Amino acid sequence: MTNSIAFVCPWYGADLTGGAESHTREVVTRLAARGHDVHVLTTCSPSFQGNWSENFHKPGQTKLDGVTVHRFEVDGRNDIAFDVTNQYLLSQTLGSTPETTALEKAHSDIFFRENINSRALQSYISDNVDEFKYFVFIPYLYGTSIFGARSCPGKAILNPCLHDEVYAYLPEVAEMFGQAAHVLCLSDGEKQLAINLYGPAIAAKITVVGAGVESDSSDTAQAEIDDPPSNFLLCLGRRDPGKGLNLLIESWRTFKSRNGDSNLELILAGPGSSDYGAPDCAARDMGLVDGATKRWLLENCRALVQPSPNESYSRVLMEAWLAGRPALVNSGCLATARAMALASGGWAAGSEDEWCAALEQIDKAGQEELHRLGQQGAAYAEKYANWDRVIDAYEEILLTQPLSALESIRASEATGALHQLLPTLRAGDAISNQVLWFQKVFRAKGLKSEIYVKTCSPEYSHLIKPVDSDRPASGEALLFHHSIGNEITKIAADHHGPKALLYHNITPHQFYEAYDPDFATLLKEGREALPDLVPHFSRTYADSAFNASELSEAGFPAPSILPIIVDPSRWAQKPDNSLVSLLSDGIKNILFVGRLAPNKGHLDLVDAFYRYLCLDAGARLILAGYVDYRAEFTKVLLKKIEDYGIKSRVLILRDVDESSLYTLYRSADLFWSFSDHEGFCVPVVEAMWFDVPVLAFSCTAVPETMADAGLLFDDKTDPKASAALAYHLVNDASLRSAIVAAQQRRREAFTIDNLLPQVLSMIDDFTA
Amino acid sequence: MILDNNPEVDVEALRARVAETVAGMPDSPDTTQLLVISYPTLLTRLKSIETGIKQCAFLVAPRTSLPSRFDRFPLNRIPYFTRFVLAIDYLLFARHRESMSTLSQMIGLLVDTQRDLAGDLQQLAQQIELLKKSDDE
Repeated sequence: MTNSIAFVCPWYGADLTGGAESHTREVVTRLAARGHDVHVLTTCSPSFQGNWSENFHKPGQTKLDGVTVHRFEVDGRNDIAFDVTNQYLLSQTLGSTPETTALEKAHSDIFFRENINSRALQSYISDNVDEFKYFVFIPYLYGTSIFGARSCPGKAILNPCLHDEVYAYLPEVAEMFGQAAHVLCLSDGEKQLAINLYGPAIAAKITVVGAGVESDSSDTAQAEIDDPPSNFLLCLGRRDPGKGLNLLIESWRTFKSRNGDSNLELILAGPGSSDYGAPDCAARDMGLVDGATKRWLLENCRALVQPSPNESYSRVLMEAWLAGRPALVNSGCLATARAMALASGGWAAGSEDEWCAALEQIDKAGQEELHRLGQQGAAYAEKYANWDRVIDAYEEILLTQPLSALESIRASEATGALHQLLPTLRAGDAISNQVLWFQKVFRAKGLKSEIYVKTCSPEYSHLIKPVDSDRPASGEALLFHHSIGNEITKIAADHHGPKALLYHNITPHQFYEAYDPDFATLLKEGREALPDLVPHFSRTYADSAFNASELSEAGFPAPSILPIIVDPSRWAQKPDNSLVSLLSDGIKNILFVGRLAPNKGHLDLVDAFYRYLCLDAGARLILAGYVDYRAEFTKVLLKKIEDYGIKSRVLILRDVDESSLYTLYRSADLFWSFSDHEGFCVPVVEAMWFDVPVLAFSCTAVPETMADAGLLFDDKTDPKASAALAYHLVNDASLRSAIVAAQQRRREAFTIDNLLPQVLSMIDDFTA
Repeated sequence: MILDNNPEVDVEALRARVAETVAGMPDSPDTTQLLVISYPTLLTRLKSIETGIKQCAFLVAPRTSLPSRFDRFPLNRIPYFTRFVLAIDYLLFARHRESMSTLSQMIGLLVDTQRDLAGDLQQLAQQIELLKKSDDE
């Protein structure tokens, strides 16, 4: 198999200075220096600033710093149509996601058709797919990436340099991200932006590689500065309004008017045509400076200020930290704000008032504090801005490591079978997803694996074997998913061969006694029969420590914990557009996902939501999950909603497929659970993947699943207090971001990458 | 009671803010201002009915394979057994299937009508909003 890697970019050259261009050049030359066969596929166009339909360079193949550079002629283009469309797109108001941003297909068609394109380059990729291990497309918004990636499905890796700008909301871009084999991001902020825009499905295929910052320590030239400042803030980079300079200048003016006695200066340095050095700006504009001056400014500033609201990676931020100086960044820019949150190397501010307050804070900070913050930033920059570490990360993804967890599984030499048995396999059901994923792992290990069920939903009928007519052969291994007492429990117990029980919990019968006595009896029998199964299963597993404790109480010795996998890649489909338009009406959406059942706390939730309407009369409660309209509990719940007179505010969705669920989570402002009994509570983790704050009643396995994320409460007797708490979670941005930050860490505990070792260990237990 | 499971949340401050909010809350919202059914609720209910109709269509289609209780050895090895059982099934349930099919079509028609009505009402609501705005101006 070939190990050659091709980087595809619209422009390439030793003298190009753009962020993506210089990053590409550094990466490919450094990879080539480590002995890898690296190619660059690019066009004959001179540069971003040049004519995109001019073949400035000669087409053909050359060698540059150990890298093979292939140049292809560019196509002719209608630049007027492009410019008009571009202006139109730039004037559009953006929604929170591509699906809620109304961009017309006709415009995005023109934007990419009249972009920089090369049919010769696309043909080369199609004709030489087998010659390369991967094609890395950088950056995301040009025709070379959009159409090039389509020419090599399965081998396209994106290095997008993604910004929160209109181009990222175009459907072609969303499609490209969805189909990419892997995505390489320069910063955690860029990764988070990609997840925010295209959904959690792409989270599993993103790696943050970072971007190196060149050290100029070998340059011993002395800076020559007329009247060098002594106490100053430094703003380094392109000087234009798009970089947040207006926000900085306005905040700076306010700061100076309030602090007339401060001798702090603001120095601007960098290219650009806008003049910010005028007296009314109260700043000193040094324009473009040489390397020595830049280094002196970085080393001697009080702090760097980086007001840009839109970066995928801020090189100057890393440079300041590497120079040991703290920084003030724009809290509205994901890339810099997240880096700041992770590094604690300074401050973040959003509004003009916040900027002004932060400037006062910096002015008053002692040298010791500035030094401490600078050192914290330096520690972060050493990790994400060190070229050796960055190239290690590229090597690992492109040349060493398999892209998916499943690919990393090596088939064992032992042949055999490991089947699964469960009552029902249903689309959208968490346990069913777990079963299907187990089957993939078992088969990847070289084992025969079938799923035996009593019933299944129509879309899964080709994946199962009906246990009524077919049984696992005697002697073959069996994993039995146990959740309720029923006739298949006997089939599992009677099976001859290695077997294990995976316990998903049985709802206590007391919840159902008032609504469905027959079902309550079934549940009671199921629980009472649990000890009878002890002699039949020598190995047992449970979704949570809570479930494991129930197994232990029933007499099973030493059950192992195997949490439910919540794999975000299952939301790789398009959203339900009819629901998107219904739920994007500006009304706050409060969501609970779970079948309508007495143990799920719906009655308490409706009580609390009724009080919530006192605070926000327009809010909407969405109850999503299976509904049996004949069930007594459903009737009681519907009556309660009717009696309260809030039918128009409660949306009950019975048939929720993956696409609808995706849309519901994307539209939700809060996940609110009053559930009284959960063996794991998958929806809580699902909500975490969509950055929906979770507010849940602390009971059974819920606190274990949530751990230090979301927010728990242990008293639901006061619906007004519950409503007030929910209101603050919906409307307080800083509280939401604190909760979401913790959720972003917690959700990782249930990914395939993290749980695969435990599943493989279970297989080893069987095959031992 | 808010628990302190999340170290990033200042629980004491949050408790104080919640108490302050509760103190200023009425006991119940003014539900006289709420509609009986909202537009999204209506449309999602219609969608739910349509899904149910699709499921009916799946269930009333004539059988092409044996019910699982018959699809086992030795019954499924008997020549013509499958055809015989399917023919019996077809004869027994033909009228039932026909009536279910008609019922599904009629409900589908009802759903279409409701959706059209909902669209009209939505348009009407928008026009009222516009009129209100022009009055204000």
